[in-house]
Amino acid sequence: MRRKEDIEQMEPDLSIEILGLKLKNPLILASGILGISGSLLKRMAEVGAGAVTTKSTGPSSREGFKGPVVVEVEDGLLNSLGLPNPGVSEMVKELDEAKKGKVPVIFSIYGFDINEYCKAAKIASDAGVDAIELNISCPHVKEVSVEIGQDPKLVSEIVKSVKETVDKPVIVKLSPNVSDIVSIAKVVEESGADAVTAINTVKAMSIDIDIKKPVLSNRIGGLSGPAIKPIGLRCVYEIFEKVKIPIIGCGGVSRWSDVIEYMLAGASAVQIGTALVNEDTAIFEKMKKGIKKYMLDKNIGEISSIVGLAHTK
Amino acid sequence: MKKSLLHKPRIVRIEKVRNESNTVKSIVFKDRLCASVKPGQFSMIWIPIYDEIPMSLSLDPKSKLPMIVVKNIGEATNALHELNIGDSIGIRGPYGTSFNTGSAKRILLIAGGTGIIPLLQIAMESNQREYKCDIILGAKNIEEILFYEDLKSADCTLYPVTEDGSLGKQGLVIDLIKKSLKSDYDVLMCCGPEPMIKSIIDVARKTNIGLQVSLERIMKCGIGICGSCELSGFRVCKDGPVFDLKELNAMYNVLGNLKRNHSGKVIDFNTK
Ligand SMILES: Cc1cc2nc3c(=O)[nH]c(=O)nc-3n(C[C@H](O)[C@H](O)[C@H](O)COP(=O)(O)OP(=O)(O)OC[C@H]3O[C@@H](n4cnc5c(N)ncnc54)[C@H](O)[C@@H]3O)c2cc1C
Ligand SMILES: Cc1cc2nc3c(=O)[nH]c(=O)nc-3n(C[C@H](O)[C@H](O)[C@H](O)COP(=O)(O)O)c2cc1C
Ligand code: FES
Repeated sequence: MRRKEDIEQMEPDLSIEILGLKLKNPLILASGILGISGSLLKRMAEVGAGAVTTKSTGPSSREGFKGPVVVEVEDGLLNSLGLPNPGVSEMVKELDEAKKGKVPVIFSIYGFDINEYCKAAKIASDAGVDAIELNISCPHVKEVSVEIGQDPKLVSEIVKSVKETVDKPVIVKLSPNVSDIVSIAKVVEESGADAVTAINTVKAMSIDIDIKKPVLSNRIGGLSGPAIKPIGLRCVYEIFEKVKIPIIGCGGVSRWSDVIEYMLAGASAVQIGTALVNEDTAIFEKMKKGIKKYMLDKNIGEISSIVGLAHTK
Repeated sequence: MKKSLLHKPRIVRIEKVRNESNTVKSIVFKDRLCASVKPGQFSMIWIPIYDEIPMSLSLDPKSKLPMIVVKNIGEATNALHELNIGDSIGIRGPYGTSFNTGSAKRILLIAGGTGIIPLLQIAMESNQREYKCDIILGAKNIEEILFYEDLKSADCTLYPVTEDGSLGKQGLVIDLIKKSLKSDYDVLMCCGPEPMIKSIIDVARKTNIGLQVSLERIMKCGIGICGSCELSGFRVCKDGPVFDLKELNAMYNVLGNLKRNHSGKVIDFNTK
């Protein structure tokens, strides 16, 4: 036990360890946010992200949907880009540049079947990524992810196969669009995953009353931003009660206090996406400052010590 | 209180449509936010059923209402050309950085083809401002010279250049600049094909004259989060579309050489 006076004199320690990786802080850039480009990933590391995640890529390239692919709604953002991506083999070419940011690079992959996940994971692993995140939850590409993420048996097979194929830590990013996210998290843990991210976007839509049509070209998209924070928080809290592997909280993290809330609920780290729309690249430093102040106020020496504190036993 | 949603398309009614050339139309509409657009900023235009695409915003020299100026090169721009007075489009923006006239007294505007569109407003407003503009207006031929009459009526000196000599000097914009760039300009403001822009960067580097350039890349979100418009670590939608010499130097090797396609794959600039 450290004495109180010692803590007060110390710079609060924001660093965390997760998946055997050391992160300077628990703020991770979420998948799909600028992660199509190595130089943008590097830039996000330089402006303060503790780790960065690439855009989800699969074995073959996709152009994505026609616009509108994003639209603002009350307290949130709807998107349905349609998983535009150049394919894993192209995406790994961005890694050299991304790594110059000197923070861990998490490589997000998706697939249409077990083989595709394994193929993508192998290419990513050979290219030297720090961890692999399986996007089984992207709600807006038909036949891709929502079906996979909702099918516990399939999820289990994918996680097992990917774990057999690669030595890297494997994170599974869960969808909130299921009736029982905790049971999926348990399946994922039993299948050998090293961590889960909760949550991906929530299925939603927006209709223009003058045009009398859905705004998104895909009609339905994924909701992110402050509107989904209470949902993400509840998911993390419930998963923490039943699952031992680390949880990365995601969904509407917009200010420093949201990070604290997620960590109290049981998240070891958080991912940040939509908050960049308003705060842009200053978001990471701004959050770090707020978290440090909170830690000083509450005499918290190490940020990891608050993980799960909201669970009274 | 409910705040308005900045990044939701506002549906506007088209007030006026005008042919600027065989392939270019102006579409004029009313919108409070767009009425205070700064020169060089852009909007995301929703053409229901078709697509949502980036378009420079400016003010109609005649009515002073907001307008977009559209060259029909593909599906969405063709659909825009089909629209008439009374039809609706969705619009979000203005987005991005703008040309900064700051304390400049003498400005040289350099436009290649449709590159005049984001520069038009600087020229048209020069009579109410501190600065004086010269304009190099380049195009393949007289038919592709845009806004010639409007610019002639503005308080500017015009230097048209066409590749076939059908209007003004015969040749390329860059030839004219290399031959006769005066050193008393404070800043060059430029938009046009990237090879031309690269040559202008080469010229500007040898002088003390400032440079601001408007660039284009494929855009999907327009609000700085998807990364599809990335260029050398810059986002054209948020860090641009108007960049200064320091930024242009940082992206020099990519300009005119590489771009990303809709999937995000890096491809040769001249593909398609
Ligand atoms: C900031 C910005 C401002 C712009 N301002 C104007 C403007 O004022 N007037 C105007 O006519 N056009 C402007 N453009 C270009 C315009 O957005 C594209 O011409 C349009 O998106 C093409 O859509 P389409 O469906 O008609 O063509 P598509 O069928 O999608 O494409 C036709 C061809 O154009 C290329 N292309 C597609 N999108 C772009 C793009 N965003 N930039 C460059 N090339 C593209 C494609 O690769 C293809 O070769 C601007 C672009 C940007 C990024
Ligand atoms: C524009 C955009 C693109 C996204 N693309 C992906 C993606 O490719 N893969 C993925 O797993 N999640 C993707 N997401 C979801 C985010 O990673 C994140 O889970 C979600 O947005 C919730 O977090 P937020 O509220 O902080 O944005 C995307 C989100 C947005 C807004
Ligand atoms: S268009 Fe999405 S970041 Fe620029």
